[in-house]
Amino acid sequence: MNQRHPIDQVFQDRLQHHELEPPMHLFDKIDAQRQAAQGQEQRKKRWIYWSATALLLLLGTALWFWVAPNDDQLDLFSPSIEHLVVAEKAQKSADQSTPAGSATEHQVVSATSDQASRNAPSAQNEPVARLPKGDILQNKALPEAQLRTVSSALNTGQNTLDVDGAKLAGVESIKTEAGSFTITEVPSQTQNLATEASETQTEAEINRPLGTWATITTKAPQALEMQPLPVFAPLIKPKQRGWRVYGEGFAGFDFNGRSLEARAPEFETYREARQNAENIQDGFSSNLRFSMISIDGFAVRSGIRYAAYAEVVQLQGKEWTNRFRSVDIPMLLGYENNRIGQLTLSANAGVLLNMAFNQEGQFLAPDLSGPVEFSSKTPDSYPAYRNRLGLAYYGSVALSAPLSPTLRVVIEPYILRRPSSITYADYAIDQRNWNQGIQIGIRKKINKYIYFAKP
Amino acid sequence: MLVVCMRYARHQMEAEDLLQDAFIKVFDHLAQFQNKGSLEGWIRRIVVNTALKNIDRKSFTHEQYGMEIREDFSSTDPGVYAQLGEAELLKLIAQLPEGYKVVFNLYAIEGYNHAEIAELLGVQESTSRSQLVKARKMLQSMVEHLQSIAV
Repeated sequence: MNQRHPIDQVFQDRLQHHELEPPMHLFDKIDAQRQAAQGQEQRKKRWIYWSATALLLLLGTALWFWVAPNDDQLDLFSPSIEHLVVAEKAQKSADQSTPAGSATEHQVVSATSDQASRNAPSAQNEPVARLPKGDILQNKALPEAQLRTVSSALNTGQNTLDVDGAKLAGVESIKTEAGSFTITEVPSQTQNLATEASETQTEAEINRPLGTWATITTKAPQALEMQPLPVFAPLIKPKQRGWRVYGEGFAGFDFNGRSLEARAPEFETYREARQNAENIQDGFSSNLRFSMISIDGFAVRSGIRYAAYAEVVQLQGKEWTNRFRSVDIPMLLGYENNRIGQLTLSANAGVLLNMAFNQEGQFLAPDLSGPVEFSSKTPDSYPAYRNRLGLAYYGSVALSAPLSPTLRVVIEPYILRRPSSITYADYAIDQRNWNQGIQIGIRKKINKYIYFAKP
Repeated sequence: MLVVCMRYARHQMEAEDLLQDAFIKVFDHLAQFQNKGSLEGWIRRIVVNTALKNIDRKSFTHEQYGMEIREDFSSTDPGVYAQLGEAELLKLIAQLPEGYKVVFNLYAIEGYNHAEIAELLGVQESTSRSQLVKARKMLQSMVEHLQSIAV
């Protein structure tokens, strides 16, 4: 049996259960630190919930765009094409009892909304060609989209068709005239003008057969059996402005910079030591984004961005590399101009919402004693860097060129500024990072439109 | 627990900081206490571990092994220590070099053995033994010095 050393015994007997009352301010500090930690924990949870919600919304929206039918397949507001069947049947019936030529006509004119209004009382546009009277559904010369557009216009009684729908249908507008309509196909020359007029949209789609043209003879609209519109239809201004959807993937190089500023004069030596010991390196970033581009060229872009960079540290004869990684959600607005031949040029600006900022490595301890670890994943490491960085400002210009009808290559130089320090407020140094870079990627046209309002 | 921290710290402020850090951990992990031992013992382990994390590992390097064979405390009467108050004993410990102080605290007062100390500190057992012997010898000389002043 080991016998305790007399000195050990004396110290243990006298000190093991000896207690001193801690000063009261210590409990206050413990309480304050606990409350701060709890607040931080709550903010962290709230941040996670919001981030998860935003991500789910983003993914849900992306999925919807991906799986939802095309706008030319989904036409909730338009009556079915059976409407015209009814009309045609009624017309056939009228033909049997009415002399030929007394039947009313549908007329479509090539005009904008304003022009349509001006022409409304006495539109006398001449049709370029006419289809013979008969069952228009059996007439293969009239594209299906054209029929639907006409059907929609008849049902809603609107004077002007949306530009996209008109382009798809091969007509530009429709005009009502006391129950008499004439449907006129846009001739090839007019169509070119229409294409030019809608150049603000990135990629116009006019894929109809040329040379077809129709005159549809039918009964007056009041004779048609109208289908009820959805109850919310009157609440929506009947204005179709489709936003084209694109998926974008980028990768690129980042040229990083930083500034260190001592938070108090006594830390100036420390700041200088860190400044001399650390050398920030270039990094890389990758982006996955969805873009919605309106017919006017306005763009809304969002997605997810991952970036990484390194710092090389030379301290006390040793050299090592620190690594930093961030995940952000970009929320950008832009304007896109495609009047440069086949190229498009866009300018974008917005914010990046930081989701995570991870660090791995060591730096000089504030007491200048030597390196100390600050890795975010290591427990009890030095708490210098924040784990979420808030908002960053982002600006870019992008030039794209077509690779195929649905694919473009995009070059996007950008700048990024983080307005707040990436270190905690109680750390000796205020550190701000910025970077500029150039990213190259592809833009895939997703064959979907989104409508914020639709007749 | 403040006394525990004072035995490992260099000064009162550091001891208070250690105690603060330790109690934050206690509150954060209170749910993990399984009532298998005493709450005081559990808290004391957390306090000691917090103090040990604050220690510069270099305190345990450059040791001269084999000094444990030169133990000789016969010249000091243990009764002399009994005349010293707790505050004086704490001051004596505080004057020890960091490595000596830690090993002496762990071995003599907390009751750890050398194998456990070696594992806690990440050093060799022989280093722990060596530090303990040097600590005792230094304490003995300091007590003798106090004794000579008193006489």
